[in-house]
Amino acid sequence: MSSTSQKHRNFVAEPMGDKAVTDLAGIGGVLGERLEKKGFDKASVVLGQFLVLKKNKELFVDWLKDTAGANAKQAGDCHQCLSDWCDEFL
Amino acid sequence: MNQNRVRFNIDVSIEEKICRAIEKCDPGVVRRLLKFGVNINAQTGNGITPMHWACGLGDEAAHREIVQLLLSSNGNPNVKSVEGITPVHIAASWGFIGVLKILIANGGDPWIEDTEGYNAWDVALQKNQWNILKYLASYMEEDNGEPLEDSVQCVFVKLREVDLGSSLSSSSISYNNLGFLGSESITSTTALEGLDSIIDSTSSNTLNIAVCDSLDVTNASANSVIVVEEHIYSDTEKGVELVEWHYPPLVNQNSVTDATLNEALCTSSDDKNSVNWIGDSIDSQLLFDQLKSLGSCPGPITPTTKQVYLRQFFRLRREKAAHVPSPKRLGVSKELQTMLLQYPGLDSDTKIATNLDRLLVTHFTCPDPLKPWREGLAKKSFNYLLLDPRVTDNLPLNESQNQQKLFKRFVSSIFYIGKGKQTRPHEHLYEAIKLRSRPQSFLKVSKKVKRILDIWNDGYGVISIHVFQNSLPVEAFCREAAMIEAIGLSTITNVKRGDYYGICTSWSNSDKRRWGCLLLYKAFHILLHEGERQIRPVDL
Repeated sequence: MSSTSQKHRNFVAEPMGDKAVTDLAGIGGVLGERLEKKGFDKASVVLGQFLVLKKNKELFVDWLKDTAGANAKQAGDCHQCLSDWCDEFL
Repeated sequence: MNQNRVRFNIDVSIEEKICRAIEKCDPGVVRRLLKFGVNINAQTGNGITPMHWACGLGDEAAHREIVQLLLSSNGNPNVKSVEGITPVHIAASWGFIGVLKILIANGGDPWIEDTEGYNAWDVALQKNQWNILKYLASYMEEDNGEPLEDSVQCVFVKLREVDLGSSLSSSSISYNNLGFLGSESITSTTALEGLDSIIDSTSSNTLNIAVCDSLDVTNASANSVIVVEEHIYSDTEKGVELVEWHYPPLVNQNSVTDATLNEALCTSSDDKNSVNWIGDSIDSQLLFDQLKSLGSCPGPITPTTKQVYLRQFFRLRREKAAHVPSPKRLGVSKELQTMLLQYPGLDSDTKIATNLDRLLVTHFTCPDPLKPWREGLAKKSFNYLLLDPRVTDNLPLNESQNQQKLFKRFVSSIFYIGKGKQTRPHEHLYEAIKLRSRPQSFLKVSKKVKRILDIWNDGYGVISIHVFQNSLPVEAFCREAAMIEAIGLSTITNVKRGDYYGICTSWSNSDKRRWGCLLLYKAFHILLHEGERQIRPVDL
């Protein structure tokens, strides 16, 4: 990972607390809304899913594409974001 | 009828003359007129043929003699009148049992329907011709494949559980009690829906499979264990005993999963309904175990993760399947090669082949009974393909995979194509089983027998699929020949090319091959739906 977005760095910088799902890298307004509709209203819920899928990139990306209609880049960013966060805080 | 009798005096052509002679029961005149070359199968002015005439007059010896006379001069017992009525209809409706017997003995078909859709049975029933009905009933029994002779028996023995992992050699638990099947059946509507849609989605040439049975068995089977039916086939006359293990196609839950999921993925991923019922119909634990056995390390399978894991499961299965060596086949006809590359083949080819198939079937529906057809006219033949189970690797259980790959595997597993008789469905294995007991005579063994013995030695049974049942011997010979031509003689262990009969002798070679491809394609689907039947000697 050569460069990461500002959003990524912001998210990884601190515990996620009650942050909204849209604070995750790769998740903008549209994807955020879709996720919320399916019950993933907080970043921590998405983290839960990420952990249940054992941090596996392939599976997580697949899931996010499926649930929110994310593209490969968005899903990959989101995975990277959660993965880095876990390295830091888990 | 009576009206016709009055009318036919008006114009006296040679056909009418013969009708008059027939009516008078004058074999002498009839014989003389026949020498003039009267076409007794052609309709006369009143829409019926002299054949019809002869069969509606009476049932005395004289009448029967006339009918016999006409039949022996190329009279067709199945010729149709304007209303689609055949002489068999007429004899049946008047209750002329003697005439009817003669007609049927000469190739008359009591199941032909007239324009109103009635066959001879229906007509006899309308007229309360009980003796005819009785006779037809006994004929029907024979017709539907004669009941297995005493010497040949196929007995259902038991269900066995076979561990998929260690294939056939594992110790097996047998259930002698069949009761558990009925009692523990799962009939959840979701699962049934799934199965229905699989069956619907398949092409029209599928054989009906016992859906309920497979569902029951599904439930009875443990995770990586499948239940096979064991039948003992014994022919006391020839002293042959074989065991047949039938692997039901949908027996393993993961095959159900495979198929259902594939369905849904094919239809459209945002179809909520389909996704839901798939999710419901698959056991999470089973999926978990399967993933593990495929070398993955799955997390908990919850409603939110199931879909993802299912997809992973298929990806892994596909990758595994990719390792199956691709069939390297020289000598396959170019038509079949096109089909293998562009499965299921070119539309134009399929269309031509379907037409040819229809032509052949109609051609052999009422064969000319007077021509000497090879092996007679009993519709008791079928074609069989012998497959190598080491290549198929239980094809029907892998139904989820790319059909093109499966078809390739199917084609490369075929090692013999033949024609069999229903009275002895496993005759083609007799030679091998005899040789097995006398190993010293191995020297001059045919390639086919050698392959069979190889398969048995490896602990498998030969897969024999029986297709295109209830056909005339000549029809089956044609099919055999076409399939051999399509697959290429050099790729299988057949020694000679088949022979063509009747209408297909006039087809071009490429047409024959196209037709052969279609037949192989049909056989492939039949296998997918019937499941594999592995046949082995009893003492293996």
